[in-house]
Amino acid sequence: MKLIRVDMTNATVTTRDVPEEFTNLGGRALTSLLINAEVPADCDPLGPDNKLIFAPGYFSATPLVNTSRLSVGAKSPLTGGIKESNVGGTVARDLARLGITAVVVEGRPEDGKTFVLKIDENGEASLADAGRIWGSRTYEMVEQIRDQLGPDYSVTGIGPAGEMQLSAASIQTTDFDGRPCRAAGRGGLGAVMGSKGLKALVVHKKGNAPAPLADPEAFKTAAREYARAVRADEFSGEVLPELGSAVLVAPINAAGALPTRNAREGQFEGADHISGETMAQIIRERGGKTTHKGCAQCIINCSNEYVDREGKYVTSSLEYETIWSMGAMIGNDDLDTIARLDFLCDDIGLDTISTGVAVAVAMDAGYKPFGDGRAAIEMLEEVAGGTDFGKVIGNGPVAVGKHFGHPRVPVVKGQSMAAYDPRAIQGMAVTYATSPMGADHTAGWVVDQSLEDFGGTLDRFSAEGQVEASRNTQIHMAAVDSVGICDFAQSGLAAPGGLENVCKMIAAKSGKAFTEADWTDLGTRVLKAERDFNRRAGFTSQDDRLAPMFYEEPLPPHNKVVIISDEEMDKTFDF
Amino acid sequence: MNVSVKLFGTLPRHVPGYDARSGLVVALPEGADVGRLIEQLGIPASRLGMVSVDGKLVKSSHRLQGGERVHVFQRIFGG
Repeated sequence: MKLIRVDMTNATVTTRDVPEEFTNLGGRALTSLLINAEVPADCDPLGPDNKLIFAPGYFSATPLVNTSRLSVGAKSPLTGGIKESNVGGTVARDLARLGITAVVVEGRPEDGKTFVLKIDENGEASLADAGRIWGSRTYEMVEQIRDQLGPDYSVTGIGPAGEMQLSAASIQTTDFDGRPCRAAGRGGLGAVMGSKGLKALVVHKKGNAPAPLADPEAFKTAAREYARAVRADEFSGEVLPELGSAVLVAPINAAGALPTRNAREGQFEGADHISGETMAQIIRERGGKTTHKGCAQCIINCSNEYVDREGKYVTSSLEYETIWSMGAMIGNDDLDTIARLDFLCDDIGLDTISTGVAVAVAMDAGYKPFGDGRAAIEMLEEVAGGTDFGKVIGNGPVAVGKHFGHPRVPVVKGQSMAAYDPRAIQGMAVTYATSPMGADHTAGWVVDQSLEDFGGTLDRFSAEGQVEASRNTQIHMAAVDSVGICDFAQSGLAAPGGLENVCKMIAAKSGKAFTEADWTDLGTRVLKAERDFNRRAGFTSQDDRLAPMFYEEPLPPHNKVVIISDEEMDKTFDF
Repeated sequence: MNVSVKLFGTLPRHVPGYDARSGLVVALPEGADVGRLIEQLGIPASRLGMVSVDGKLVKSSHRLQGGERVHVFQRIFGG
């Protein structure tokens, strides 16, 4: 299997076999272990010593469904620690079909040169001058590349925010229909790509050299079983196809955990206007698509196409986190404005979560009133225009807090939280505080376990059991992100015998025995490497804490604060 | 006594004639709890996630007074 190294300093590309110690790894395991081994922890994230690594999940381009997940890793300019951000679309499948295990982008051009990295149908990589593609927004970037190369390439690249090396810059990648609307959003990895002068990674879609399966029949049998479980599950088989992740708006609001107006409240009076049910109704009435395939190998189709009153495409896909960050978090209950802001983030190349929270902090500081959607749109256009204030917004919530001297900045390790207020779900406080990624909901989502009223096992307002729940989920997710199974297809893992089935597939691909204990060891190994990197980058247990507002300000309507003690937080990683 | 009910997610599929815009008004015997309401709606227990009454999550043993707004949700999973 191939590992491609791209030296941006000398504009050279070398392709070698994957070194022995990194074989049988993929996704987050590969990016995090490589970064910990090769990137100096104290380096400038935007300097030549940082490395930007693209790695498809271990299962990408196998017969298993919902596995086109690409992990992108680097030292983060937003957190100063290690980062893995993963994204769907088609690129992970495309790379894996070409037998490519990772692309490692190193160095930095001295003279301001900019490039596009192309990988052709034979898996040959080459750098070309970005020319006038540099400077484009992402939808235009994709169009220009398609004009040059035709439709057979996935495009993974940055917009103006990444070119300006702003800390909330995303890396966007094309969806199943070729639109750059899928984001490796978190951690400012778009800025790292921009610092390397790399506008886009362009990968041929029709490779025919995927990693061989040691036991194809055993793999296919297990994969069929997994797909059956994903289809049979109510959430992944019925709810997500009809409503997408936006279905979460109403229940999380009901739980009093939907951060509203920069997390001053946990319920938004406009939630009905921005719920998944309302969104689906609007899309249906206007002739858009409520059910849409966004990623290769997907059988869930949680994506959608949001259209305007004339039925014209606005954005894909409108999802829970963005509806929150550009909705409740900024006090905006207008879905059309949210959809426009989502499109702008994709087009400019910005993380919708960090950017929405940056706007929320600015509004909280009095710059504009909450609920002013037009002001939010103007702030995003300022980012694209490169104004001084635009750069403040594009650098994320901490930069905005500093700019206004405003202390209410809902972050951990410099990264904003997501759409679950930790004061209303204490387990999320543990995940946000201790994840090596900074406040990241996907690193250990314990919301379902915490809603004990109907079926959960934890009291969400009690500290009891939260550390253990978060630890176990974080270990599990580190392994999930490494094999590259979509978060929403985890129903296949949660089904009876699901984990055993996944272990069978790892063994059937590698040809080596793989047990459930090995699964836990894989997740633990990844977290250990990430924490080791962060420790060497200067992080201490004091960085495993939430922003003061979460400990000090009770959140209506339940009026709770985070009650997990520092001692308990520090027990999360007892290895 | 009557309560007004809104169903979320794909739960409307289980309640024939449910209108998403107006919701439902359900007549219940005095002193009925949330569990009784769910049973009367015909929503299978396996499909139930959580229930809120006037904006706050409650358990199925929560006793209704009449006049409340009841929201019924499915099990959720996410990120």
